[in-house]
Amino acid sequence: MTSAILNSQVLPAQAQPAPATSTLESVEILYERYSQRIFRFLLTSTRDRDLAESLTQDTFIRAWAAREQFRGDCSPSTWLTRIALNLVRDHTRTNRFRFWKSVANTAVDATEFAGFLPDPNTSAESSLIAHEQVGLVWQTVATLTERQRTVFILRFVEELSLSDIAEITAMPMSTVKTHLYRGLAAIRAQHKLAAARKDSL
Amino acid sequence: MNAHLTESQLFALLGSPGTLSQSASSSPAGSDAAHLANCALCSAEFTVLRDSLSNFRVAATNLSALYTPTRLLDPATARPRFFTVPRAAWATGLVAAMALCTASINLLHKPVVHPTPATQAETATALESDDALLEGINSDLSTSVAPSLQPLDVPATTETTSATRNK
Repeated sequence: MTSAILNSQVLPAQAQPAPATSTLESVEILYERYSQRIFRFLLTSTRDRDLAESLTQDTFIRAWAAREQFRGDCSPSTWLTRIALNLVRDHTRTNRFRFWKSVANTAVDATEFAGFLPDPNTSAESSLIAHEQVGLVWQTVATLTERQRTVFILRFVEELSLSDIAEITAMPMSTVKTHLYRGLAAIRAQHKLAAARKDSL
Repeated sequence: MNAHLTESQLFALLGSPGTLSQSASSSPAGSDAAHLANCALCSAEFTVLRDSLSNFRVAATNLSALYTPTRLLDPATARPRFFTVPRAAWATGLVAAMALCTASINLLHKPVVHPTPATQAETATALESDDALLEGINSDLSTSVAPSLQPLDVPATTETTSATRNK
């Protein structure tokens, strides 16, 4: 069974079969399989590498401690993301987080983030535009409310369905859609502004 | 005819499953999406937003792939320590804690000392001297210039008077 789980890891995230409760039999396998996804969600949510790393550890430890509550009615990924989101919410509510966020040197800025965009075989101009756009999205996401940002990340980074997002965030589907559209409206507005600024030059 | 896609229609297309996974050359399926094929403006805006969001995901994935912790720091502690400690250890710890508490109480407990007549006299004397000291401070404060500062006050007054006369 372990080998079956390990073999399935070579499949892309979307192509993996519906996970079963048996995947919770080992915390190492759980971690190996989902840690990158959880870390990605936490990193884009908190924008701090150290904090995301620490919360990733906490997510799996908390999940493992509460594994008996997992009944398999959602995927382990959804369950883990819900735990991770609760940890982010708990953490970002504290004043300590606000203080350390202002002095953190492991915070990821827009330039650094855009630097992780691979350079395909396109012109230098296209590559520059792509970097600018990604930087713009990164900056705009920071200005969203906590709920808008969470829904946006879950939809456009984690590529979760609206129903999964509704389950993770414990919000009705209509509210999820509203937050998503507001987030997109902010992204669209910033793109228009940037285009207008470019035209005026 | 509706000239362009509304914001909701545009966002519905962007939010539809698989949109970001599609290549730049392909276009989404659906009734609203048919407009994109005929409207250069809407198509251009859709492409810009879709590519931005798609690249955002790629950058986030690459960044996280680089920094994801390779393993749990200590898998043995995945179970909270509370549950890993045997019951016997908890019992021993509890007994030790109770013994420590009892010893501390005995050490900290001071026997009640009944005041002897001599002690009472000393206390009365101390109270009297305290009262006298406080009385002295009160009288000093009530006067305009404190007795200790009066020698300094006299020349200052003289100088001020002479300065007024010279005017």
